[in-house]
Amino acid sequence: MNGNSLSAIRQLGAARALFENLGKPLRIATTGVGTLVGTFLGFQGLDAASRFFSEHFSTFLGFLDVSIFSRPQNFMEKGTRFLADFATLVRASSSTGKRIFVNSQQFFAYLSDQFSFLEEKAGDIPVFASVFDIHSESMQWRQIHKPSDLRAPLAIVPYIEPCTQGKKVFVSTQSFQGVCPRFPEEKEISLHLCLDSTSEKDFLGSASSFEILLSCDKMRTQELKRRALSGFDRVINLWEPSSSEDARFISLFQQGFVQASVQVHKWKKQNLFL
Amino acid sequence: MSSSTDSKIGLALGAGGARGFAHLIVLQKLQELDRTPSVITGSSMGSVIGAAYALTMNTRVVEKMIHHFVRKLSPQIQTLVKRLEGKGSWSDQLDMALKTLTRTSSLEADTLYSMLTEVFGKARFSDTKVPFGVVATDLEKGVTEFIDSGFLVDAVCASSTVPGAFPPVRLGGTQFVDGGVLRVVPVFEAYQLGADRVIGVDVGDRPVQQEFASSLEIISYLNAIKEKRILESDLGGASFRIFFDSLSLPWYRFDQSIEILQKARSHFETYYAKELERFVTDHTPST
Repeated sequence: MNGNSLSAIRQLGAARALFENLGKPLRIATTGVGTLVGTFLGFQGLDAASRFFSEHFSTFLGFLDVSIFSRPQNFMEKGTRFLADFATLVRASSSTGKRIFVNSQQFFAYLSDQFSFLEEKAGDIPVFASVFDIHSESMQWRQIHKPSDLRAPLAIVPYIEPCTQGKKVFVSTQSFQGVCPRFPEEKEISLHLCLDSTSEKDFLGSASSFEILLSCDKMRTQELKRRALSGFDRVINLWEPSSSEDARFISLFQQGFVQASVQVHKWKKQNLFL
Repeated sequence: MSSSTDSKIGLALGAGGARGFAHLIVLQKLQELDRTPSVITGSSMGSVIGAAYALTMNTRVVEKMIHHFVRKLSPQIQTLVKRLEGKGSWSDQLDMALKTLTRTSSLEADTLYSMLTEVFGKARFSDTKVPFGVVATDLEKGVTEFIDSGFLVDAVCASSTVPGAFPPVRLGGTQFVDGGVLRVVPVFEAYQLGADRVIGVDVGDRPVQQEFASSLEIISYLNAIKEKRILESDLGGASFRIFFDSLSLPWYRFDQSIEILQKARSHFETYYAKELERFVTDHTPST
């Protein structure tokens, strides 16, 4: 699981379709926003996860809706956007500990509160998150046990600040290659299925050097994602259609459910699960 | 099917700004061995050097061209170096930050195009003496486009527009930025042009960094790691790989052309000259 904040909701719908057709997974492997969805799913179950994200949908969007995604329509908006981008540039150039786009401090305080159940019980399905170690230039798996474990897999740079632990700097594998790698082989795992909700089309634009540089960075992530996806046995594309067309929780959930159901039926017809 | 001794050898020249002058050393060696490449592909600076060579098949002309432009563009190069190294005045720095947010490039759009026009004039891909192609990045779709027809100047310009420094180039309704964004060394495209074996040349400088002063530095370093991964995967397909990894200069140090060529020659002689000779001999048709 990976994903943009909106299309990650489709993963919940897709999970329902998969649970109904194939049963529960043995492991949930995640990165980025998919870590939030996957962790809730693994620890609290599908119904509780759906309820939670439905109720907290607008709060999440409030945190993760950053000005860089919006297209200024008029003079006033352009002015505001310019000031926001200027502030972003200054913040990003001046420190490793300040917010870049998303107010990380508030966001992680909110997550600690909402994911406090992690301290109280073990999950039904073990949840793992992939993080990228900048110094060793390698990806690592970490099992999720407590709210602070969410910090590194959610460090989706440039939107959320990198995670510093001692002398090490970690970022979300999502910001490196858009998707977590194939989970290490285990005897019981016979199928590695990826719910991909990181869009390959939402490039930022070309209105300024700043946008172009961010777009180029994103293009490299997408290029690596295309290569990483070939490591999975099956991939369900959840990033199409563009999530901005109908950004209501219920629509996104249903889209995920339908897309996964159709795909699973297709695979069953082709006997791909035998 | 080709036997190992009658291969069409392709040459894939990589991106890297001024460090790309080092491509000349490989071309000189191949000329010395009397084994000109059967096809050439280039990305960014690799496209400039590759196109100049494919048109003339003469390394002396290419070398003269390099020195001519470094001399001619000296004032612009000095300004570029000052700005990018933060050595300009306070007002220069502010100007740079404002341009980053309000303009598509920090340099004038005409700088690159007029220089390339002087080199390539109205030459077309069909004028090159061996099949030649360049890669550029489609900014809207986020994919690599391979261009091997039309005017050289347009395609080479599209392939060489370093993002942020030069503005995107519009060709046939598509906005392009530097080919090196997604294809640092266009190995695959050389096979596509008909090569049986490909020599891939990388001129990247990717220093290992352990300390980070700002989030921007981390983002920029992560981006360099991504480039490295893409490169490793692409170069994996090459039959012979050359890394000019000791040049240790940023892409914009065009003013260091003589030093780059000297360093590159010495590096090449130490690590690759003999092996390349053997490779070329092994794949040259016996008479």
